Amino acid sequence: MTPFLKETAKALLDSGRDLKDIRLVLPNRRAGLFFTKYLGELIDQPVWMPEVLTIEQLVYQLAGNTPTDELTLVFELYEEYRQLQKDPEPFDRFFHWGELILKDFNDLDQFLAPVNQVYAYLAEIKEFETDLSFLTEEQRALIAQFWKAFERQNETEKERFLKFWQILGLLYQGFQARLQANGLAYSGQLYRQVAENTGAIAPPDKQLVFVGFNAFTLAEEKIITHYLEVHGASIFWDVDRYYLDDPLQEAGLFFRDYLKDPILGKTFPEKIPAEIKDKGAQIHTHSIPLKTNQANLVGKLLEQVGADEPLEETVIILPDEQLLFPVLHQLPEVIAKLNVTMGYPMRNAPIYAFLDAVLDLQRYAKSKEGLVTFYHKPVLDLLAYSYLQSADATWASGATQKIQNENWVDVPLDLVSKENTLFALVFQKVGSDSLLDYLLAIIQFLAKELQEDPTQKSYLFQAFKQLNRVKEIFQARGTKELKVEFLLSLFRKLFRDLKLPFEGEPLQGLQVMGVLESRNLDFKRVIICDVNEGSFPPGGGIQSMIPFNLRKAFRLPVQEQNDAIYAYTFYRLLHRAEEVHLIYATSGEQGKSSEMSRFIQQMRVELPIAKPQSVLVPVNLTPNQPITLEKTPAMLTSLARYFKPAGEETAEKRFSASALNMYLDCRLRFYLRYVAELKEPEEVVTTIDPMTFGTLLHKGIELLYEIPEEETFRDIDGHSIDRLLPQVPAAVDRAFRELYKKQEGEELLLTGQLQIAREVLTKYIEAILSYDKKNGDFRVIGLEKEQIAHLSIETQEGTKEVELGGVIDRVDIKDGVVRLLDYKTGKDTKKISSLVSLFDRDDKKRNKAGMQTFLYAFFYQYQHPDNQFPLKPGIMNIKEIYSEDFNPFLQLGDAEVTDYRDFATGFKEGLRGLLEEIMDPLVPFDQTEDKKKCSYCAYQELCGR
Amino acid sequence: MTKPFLLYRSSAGSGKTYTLTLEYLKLALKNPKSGYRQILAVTFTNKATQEMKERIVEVLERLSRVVKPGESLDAELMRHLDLDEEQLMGRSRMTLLHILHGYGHFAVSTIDSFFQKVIRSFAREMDLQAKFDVEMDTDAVLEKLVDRIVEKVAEDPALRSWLIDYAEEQLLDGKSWDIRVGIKGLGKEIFQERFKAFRAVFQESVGKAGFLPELKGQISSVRQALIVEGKRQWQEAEDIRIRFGLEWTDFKGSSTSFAKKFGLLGNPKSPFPDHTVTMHRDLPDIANWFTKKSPLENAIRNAHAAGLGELVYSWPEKVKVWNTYTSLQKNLNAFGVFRNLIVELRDLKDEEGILLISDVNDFLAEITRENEAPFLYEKIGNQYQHFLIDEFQDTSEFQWSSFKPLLENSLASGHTNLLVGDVKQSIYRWRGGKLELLLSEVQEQIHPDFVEVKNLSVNYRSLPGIIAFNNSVFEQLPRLMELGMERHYGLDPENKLSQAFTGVSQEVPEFKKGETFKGKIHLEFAEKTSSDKSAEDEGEEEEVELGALDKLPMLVMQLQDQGYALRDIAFLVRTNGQGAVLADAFMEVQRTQIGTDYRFAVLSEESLFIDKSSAVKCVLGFLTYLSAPSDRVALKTLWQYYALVHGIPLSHELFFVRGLPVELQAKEAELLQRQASFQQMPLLELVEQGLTFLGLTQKQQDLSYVSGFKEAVFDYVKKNRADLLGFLDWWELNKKKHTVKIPEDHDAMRILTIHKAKGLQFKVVVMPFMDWGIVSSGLQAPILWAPFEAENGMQTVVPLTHQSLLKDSHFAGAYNEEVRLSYLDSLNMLYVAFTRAEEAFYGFSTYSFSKSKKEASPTRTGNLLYSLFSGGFQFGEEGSSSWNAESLTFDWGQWPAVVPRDGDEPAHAPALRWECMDWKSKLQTKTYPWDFSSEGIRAREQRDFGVVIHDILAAAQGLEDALRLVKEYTFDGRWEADIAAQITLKLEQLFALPQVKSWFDPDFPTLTEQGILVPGGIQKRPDRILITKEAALVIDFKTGVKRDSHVVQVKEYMALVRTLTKLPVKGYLCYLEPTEIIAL
Ligand code: SF4
Repeated sequence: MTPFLKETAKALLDSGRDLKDIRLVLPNRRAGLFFTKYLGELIDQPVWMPEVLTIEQLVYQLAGNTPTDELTLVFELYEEYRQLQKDPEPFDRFFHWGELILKDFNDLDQFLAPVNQVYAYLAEIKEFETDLSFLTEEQRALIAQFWKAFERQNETEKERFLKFWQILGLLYQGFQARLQANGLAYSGQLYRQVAENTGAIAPPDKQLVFVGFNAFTLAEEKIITHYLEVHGASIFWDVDRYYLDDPLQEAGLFFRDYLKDPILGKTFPEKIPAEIKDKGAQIHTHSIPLKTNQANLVGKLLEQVGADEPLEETVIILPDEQLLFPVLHQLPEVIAKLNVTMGYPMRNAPIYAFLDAVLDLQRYAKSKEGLVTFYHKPVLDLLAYSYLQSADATWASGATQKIQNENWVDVPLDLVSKENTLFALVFQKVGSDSLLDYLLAIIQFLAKELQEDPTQKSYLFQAFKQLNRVKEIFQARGTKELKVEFLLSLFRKLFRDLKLPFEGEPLQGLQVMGVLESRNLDFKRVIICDVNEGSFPPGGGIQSMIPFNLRKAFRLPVQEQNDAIYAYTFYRLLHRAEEVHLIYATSGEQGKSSEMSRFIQQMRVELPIAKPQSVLVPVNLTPNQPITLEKTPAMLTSLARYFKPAGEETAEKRFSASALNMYLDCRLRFYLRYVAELKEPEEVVTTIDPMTFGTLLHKGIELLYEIPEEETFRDIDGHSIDRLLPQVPAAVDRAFRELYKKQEGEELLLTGQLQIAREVLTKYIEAILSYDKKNGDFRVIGLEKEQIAHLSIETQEGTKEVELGGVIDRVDIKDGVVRLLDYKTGKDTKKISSLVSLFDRDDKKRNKAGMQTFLYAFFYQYQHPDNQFPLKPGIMNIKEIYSEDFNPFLQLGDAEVTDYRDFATGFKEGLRGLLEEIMDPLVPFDQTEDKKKCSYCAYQELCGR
Repeated sequence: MTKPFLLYRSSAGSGKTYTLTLEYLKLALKNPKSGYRQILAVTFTNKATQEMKERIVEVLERLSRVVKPGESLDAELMRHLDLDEEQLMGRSRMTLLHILHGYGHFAVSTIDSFFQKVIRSFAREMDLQAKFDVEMDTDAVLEKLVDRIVEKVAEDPALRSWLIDYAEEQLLDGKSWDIRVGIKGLGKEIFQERFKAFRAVFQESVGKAGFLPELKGQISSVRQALIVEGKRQWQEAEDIRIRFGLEWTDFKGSSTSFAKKFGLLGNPKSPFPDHTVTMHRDLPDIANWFTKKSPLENAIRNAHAAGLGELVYSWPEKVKVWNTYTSLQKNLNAFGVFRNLIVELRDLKDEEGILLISDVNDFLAEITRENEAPFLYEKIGNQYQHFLIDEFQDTSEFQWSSFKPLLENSLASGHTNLLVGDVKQSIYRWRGGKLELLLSEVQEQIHPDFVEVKNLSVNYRSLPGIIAFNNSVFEQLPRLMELGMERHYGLDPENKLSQAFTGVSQEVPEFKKGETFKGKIHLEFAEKTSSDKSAEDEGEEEEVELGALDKLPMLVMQLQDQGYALRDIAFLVRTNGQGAVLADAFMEVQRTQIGTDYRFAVLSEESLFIDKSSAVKCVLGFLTYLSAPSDRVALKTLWQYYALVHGIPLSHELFFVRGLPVELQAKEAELLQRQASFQQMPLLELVEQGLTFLGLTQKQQDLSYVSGFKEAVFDYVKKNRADLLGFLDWWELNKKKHTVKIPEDHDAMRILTIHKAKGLQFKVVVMPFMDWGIVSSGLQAPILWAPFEAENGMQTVVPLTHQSLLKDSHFAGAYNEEVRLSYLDSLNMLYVAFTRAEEAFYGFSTYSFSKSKKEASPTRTGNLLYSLFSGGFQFGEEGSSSWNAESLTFDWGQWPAVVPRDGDEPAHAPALRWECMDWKSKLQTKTYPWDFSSEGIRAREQRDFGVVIHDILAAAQGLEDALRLVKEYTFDGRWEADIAAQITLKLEQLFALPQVKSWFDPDFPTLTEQGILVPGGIQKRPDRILITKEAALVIDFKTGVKRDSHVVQVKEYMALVRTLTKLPVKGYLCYLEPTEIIAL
């Protein structure tokens, strides 16, 4: 296979012309590199290299100016726009419109369109005749069609369109003037300037040779034709009969035009090659389920590359840049070197995410009396980022823990900042005028840290350049008031479409590139991914503010031209390739179905090629096995810690009510929590789970009813409650403070969610107090007191004492009855169908709270064996406490439980049975059958439920 | 002459795609060059779009090779276009080629993507941003909105007190105080058309601050007044009773007398008693107040006259008011934040530059209303003349109103348009589908001169027996359901069901009539046990009836004996939950039946969830652990799945927090050691490295699932800030949206919901759970939006939960309509399910008798079906009833003799690579001065201008050129303006040196750009080469310290130049910073 550029090099060498007198003009820089490489392969002694440049370089040289960067241009455009538009939108909102307008201006200039006429409102047909007499009949018809359709619009709609349309015309003029005054320019403007003054082009000192062009803009065409006609330039075409001859083939669209051109037409060779048809390359098409699976296939295809085969002869074309990394990851070992030439979307780079988070941090940074605080969310986000993690992982996780445990809503600077590190650099509050310097400093800091990682380095450099520009622009304009919101919005918009240019050099190893980068290059083996509609050719159509028919009328490119360009890029790759793999995925974005490219369809009908081969990914699934753990000696030892050793006061561990309830709900969950000792992960700060809510509630009431030290009880009557009621809010606040370990005097800042919780808690506690008040005096004898009890059970090793324990929310005495009260915030009820049901795991309505309060009664009785009062377990549940006839005591069957002691035997019986099962070596720990139980279980993932 | 607007009513299996294709081709073939460009064919889903396109291309491709006049399509085209075979072939090829080369104009698209295209071209006029992403995930948006609103509590006191009230109400209902759930529940409605339809009213009322609190006050005062009134009535009734010396039991009915209801007056939960049907009938007649011979007749008569009568008669109206106001309360608190939600949504959309998919229809409706069709086409750059719309029964009101102007425009110019749909298959009402459009409204809206309705009534899908069976079932069921709802809900069914199902009968195509196997039908019923019933009474989520599960394995074995492949069998269920139960049951069977020849492999939507895979769970554990290394559960999760995949047995050590099985110790050590480096990887790479680290790529298990997971990460990274925490949160919310893709021919039974089954067909269809409640209640109850005018004249629109309370309220109309439509939904679901079968249909259902009357209540499909089949159901010519009252089964049809089928699956050798490579060291990149390489950073920090100037001089033709480059690089952002100024200064100083200036003398030819190429491709590029008449000059600029190698290099250049120019050569070394020139 001889690549086109090599043929060209050979032709130039053979022509006997002195290469140093030749100026080669190519579509892109990359083609130049390959050209030189090939030239080197053809010579046998040193030679002067010809001068190689791109068409842009040529034009800019002729124009004697360089286009300004896009951001500056859009900014200038905005400045002009502000003069014309009443109440203009802010710059960040204008930005994309600006880009679009700029693109239109570029097109208008590149295609030498009469701007005044384009943006005119041509209401009258007569005007076409006079103003547009220089246009063809057909062009005029298109324009007439547009404005006729427009005329039928109602007045408001007409006005809506026209208002902006006419501004555009003025904007164009004003913009030109403004740029000229500042020595700035945009690309199309320079092209037009050169193309409209070809007479002024000085005779070149070298002979120009144009190589490998397909679609010229009108300006390019004029300039090149000028060189051909006047200065004896020559031109090499890379074209094939296959698409040239068939008028339907969009790939040949431009060439067919050029062939008809009196000047360009003569430059085509006598005999145009027909390689696509004649050569008979092996063309394989593969369909594959997912986009990323394409990488797996590419990897496999490359495994077959022979060891002695030069890697440079294989190219992977990636129409969707995002596939770059998946493909790289799956490359086989035989690939020793590789060369990537394409843009990679900046917004997918880690640095983008990081800077975005940094801006978020600044957005919510506050400074009060010299104390700087940040909102917790961005702080936590940032601390989790790899950059800070790698700077000091311990510090980062330490800070995270602290913020979470102490519920810092606004995080003070000291908590996260650490001297002389990235932490200090990131965590500072910067004024709006130094925001960009701040970002740039962070980037430079990171660059130093990450020198070893070539991709990271490139990301950072790109981000640096872009932000540097932004800074320049704002500085130059003295835009001091740079709000964070504005910058954040601008940052996102700018980086949204920014591509990080990977530039591989020198040309060694496997070539990986984007579609446009492949222009002019030829490879023996071509692998193209994403040969899907929408990717190759890309969809989306032309974005323009100029309506379709007007674009057409003024010869601006429309979708048809775009398609033709991509079709040429595609078919050109087939010119000389010997082995071609076209891969397309059958599913696209978010799993939606995706279509094979029209190119494959065309080839199937016209070339023809074989039916696509579908590659399957096996769909087997490792069966998830049920988890059942037989009790091993180690587990039994662990359980034995709940036995009270003979002669000791207490055991090492004790079962709580929730442990027992958990066991009844699911044996495995109990195992994981109490035997394997896997703690359930902690909750995040912004919300409260029901448990924490309960804790706060208990704490709040405890603070109110607190028994003074050195006393064993406290009498509460209506008056004391009247005194307590106003203190409720303060008590709730204290509960929060204690929970989040806030010092006295430290400000208690709560998220919205927590503020609501606080109010609700306050009301709930007030309701409890009101209930207590209504029901008359009582004596509190215990609040949140830990109670311990033992129960003997039979085991294989004889009788053992199991230890149980728990904290009873409140024990008081009222009218000669000991009340054991528990506060509940959930759905709990006081109804128990039978004593047995408390221990029946299959009973869907098993009353857990009932079980718990009964257990407390058992504890109390155990601790106070000589207690003579009736024991009444009760539940104060939020659901019912507001109702007038609220009664907290348990209902067993239809009767109220008036004294626990009446049921003690039965209850202990059930309890003993349960404990014996827990300790029974023959009963394994297994998963619950009732999957509903799993929905609130912290081990769901582990368990596979 | 046919009318231009064709309305096709297509029943199941009636060749809808065929018809659409035919109609498309009729239009397209008329003008091969551009015909297709003027047709817009609209389909419902992406997949349908693609299939439609493929179908058209396929048919054209076939027609361009061979035309078969015997085929009806070919014949119809030849007739319609008046072409012979030869001509049709030529036309087809032409058309095909034009389509393939003008593919962008091949407009078969979903409604949404067409609409989006239009909106993009009107973005400026619609005041949208220039660039916006269409956001499909409204749930995620809502999630964000609610969080943002809750955070505003601090700054907005009104919101704050509203939310606190709400939280309290929740707690009193025994729900979590976390109100976000409730707000989200109702908040979803802001994206729905049924709410948006009232937007104007909403803005006028609730949209204004303070309106809702006032309404709330109004509601509570009306209700309070009613309670007071109830109590007053009670007092009055008591007074009268005592005055006349009566007891309530003295009235007719004694201890169960209606009069006892007086005692209920004033109950705060319901201050006025309901009239029972009998009361309503009898009480107006005073004679029914006392028993015939009652001695107290007079007293009662007097009491009645004294006011008791009036009291009783006043109740119905009072109850109605009470119900009305009570029903308003339920959603009021969540409704209270709607205003905030809507305002917040606007901000969010603006900030993130998104357009919600749910807004697309609104915008379009506005665009097509405001703009004339021709101008619209000018804007989008395409002129459509014909519209073909598929699945029209699922089109929403807004969508239709967007299309209508375009259609009218087309019709006015005499172009053909076509709608295809089937009201009977409309099961997307919950998504906004409005079947009334197809049923009647379109015909009412478009001038009858245009419209021609056609029925597609031949069923090409099913065997004759199945067709006949369905004909009978669906001729009878609608009426049965209507009677049922009439009886049970006491409402007028308005013939809605019968109307939708008129002409349901389908014909058997000629060619199928002779077949001997006519199909197999088998239905089984079982009476529900009482425990099943209780759950249902409480309105909780329905339990799956497990009865049928036992029978399925046998059935599957039978079907296999009958020669069916597993992929021929589909189980249709109503909910994903049912599907999961079914799938689990089959997996269990498969486990226990190992060793038999029968297979039980199933594919359910549930089993396809990516996170079902152990390998995926293993990576997720890995990621979760890395995001929070203190999370022991995540670590253990990781090891538990690692063990599962690698065949390491489960043990206490594996789970014990301080334990670790020996097999894992080395691995965990490695994890700890590599932890930091893992934490620094970008997400995609981390996943890839994780898979390798965990040995999952080597194991090659669950490859589809793992691929699916990678794909999800890939898509996530494309659209979102790519950090690990964010991803994990997102995954938690979205994991149920990701399923693996299964190849069509995968041999397993399909379990799918009826909704998903729409448009598909299977040889054997089994419906294991045919019994469900028709009108949803409890948590499933739908929200109705109804206009409301309060007593005090306040007008607004309110969200109501569908519940029986509404039946007797001012909202009865909305209530009844919902009941009718719910019945229609269920009927349609049954229709869709029953008609999926090609050869055999199996159904299992429970039914129940109501406690009092021995009658199957018509509120459940099972009961209705039971009534139908047990009531002498017959079909077809056979005429014999096949109901077996003993076994409660209906069985029909004879299996043919078994013909063995080819079950061999094509073998696909998967040729894919799964291992991951570290490619970084192999990548080659280009460098620049002052880039972020270590050298570049050093140079930048030390302000080392030498390297920069060197770089510029090497590329420049002179000072001017050099300065242009400085500018270019500045625009590129490489350095700031002050640096650029310094560089410029340095360059100017340099060029001020006469010698340097001479090197850039434009009068001499230079060869700077070129350099010298030596064989093999190595380039030698001295920075400047100048050629004068008598000598050549070689100049090289250098930075940094002087080195001998510099001299060697320049000498080498000089030698090369000498050979090439044959001139004497002078060489110079020019050191920059500080400047020093050395002649060689
Ligand atoms: S997920 Fe379910 S089965 Fe597993 S431990 Fe939790 S409750 Fe038990």
